[in-house]
Amino acid sequence: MREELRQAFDAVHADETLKARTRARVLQAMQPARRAPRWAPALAAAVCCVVAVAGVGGYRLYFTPTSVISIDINPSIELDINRFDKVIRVNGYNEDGVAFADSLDVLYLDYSDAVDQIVASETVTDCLARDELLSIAVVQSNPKQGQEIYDYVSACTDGNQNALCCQVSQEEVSHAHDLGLSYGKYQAYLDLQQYTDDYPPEEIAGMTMRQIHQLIDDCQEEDHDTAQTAETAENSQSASGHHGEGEGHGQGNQYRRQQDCD
Amino acid sequence: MRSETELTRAIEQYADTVRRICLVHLKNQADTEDIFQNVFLKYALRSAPFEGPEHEKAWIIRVTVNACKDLLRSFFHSRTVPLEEAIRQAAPATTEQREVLLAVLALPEKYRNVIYLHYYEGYSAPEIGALLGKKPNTVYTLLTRGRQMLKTALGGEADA
Repeated sequence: MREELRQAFDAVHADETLKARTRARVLQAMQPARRAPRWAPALAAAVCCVVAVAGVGGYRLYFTPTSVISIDINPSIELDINRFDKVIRVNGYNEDGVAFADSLDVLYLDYSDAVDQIVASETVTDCLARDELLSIAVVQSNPKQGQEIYDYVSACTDGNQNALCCQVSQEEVSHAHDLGLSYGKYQAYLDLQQYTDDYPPEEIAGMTMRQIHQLIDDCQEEDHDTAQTAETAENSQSASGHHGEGEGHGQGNQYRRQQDCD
Repeated sequence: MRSETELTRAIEQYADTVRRICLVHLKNQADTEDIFQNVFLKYALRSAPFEGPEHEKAWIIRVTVNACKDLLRSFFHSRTVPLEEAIRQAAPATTEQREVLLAVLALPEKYRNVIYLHYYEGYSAPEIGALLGKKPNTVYTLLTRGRQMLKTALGGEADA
């Protein structure tokens, strides 16, 4: 039986086609491994690094604000705008501001769409209907973009007696957030500080823009009256040879505020 | 990894052995081609040296047997064909040879391996045990029973 088995299995052969096909397929399967150069892992690592650096760089480029739009009425909110004119952050100041910021869906919109949506929101229209004052301050790090945003928000609020717009530099309002105030409200706080320091930032934070501007107007009027009284007294003294230089201090500040803010 | 020359030499040297083991386990040409590719790719990618020609041959046999068993366990092996067709594909020359192969292939799988390895490749029971991962006594038992079954099937004398 051993011999019969040997002869039977001896007759079984792998044909040449099978051998040739096997050889070709195995060599083909070996190709990627053979051709992979030694520096391939280094190249892959370098590509990964470039992608990672580009990703981090792109992230920083996109999420770095170049302008801020401070919208104050009593809810005080700020929109951080990136170099691509997109809203990248919405910050609320004071309790109302945080609630208002949470209610908005303006993240990653163009600033123009975001401002339109905010100005048309129920919160803002209700406040304006109660004769509150809407202040929109554009804080610019990039002057060109700042001017464009200012032009847009000015046109947006044009014709509304209860709205005022201004643009300020980052340096002017750099301490705003330290005091817990939005940039726009801090600007109004600085105006008021020229007349009185009776109102601490904590109290200003809870006031509406209308209330703050009312205080400024009151102070200006008071200042104006004082100046007029002083001028009258000087005029009466001038009869006895004295000449006064009665320039109203309040008027001067009123002029500056209007220039800056309207 | 082995060179193209080494691969060509191994295919020439062991293709018939692999083909016979495939015939013992598989019943169709498509699966046989898969096994050929699998076994010789493993050979080509093996970087460890062989201790000698016998070690290399034993490695080829063990890898082929395992590849056949793995394929039979998987869902992806092709449909089997009748034994006659499988033997015709392997192309034995005479009717007598075909009958012997038919008798071997008709055995249960556990007997086929040991019969082939003992009677054709000339391995002893302990060597077959080492190749297949079985105890020598188990191999002896399988050889005895397989030989008896073949004797019955072929109607001849069974020599050890």
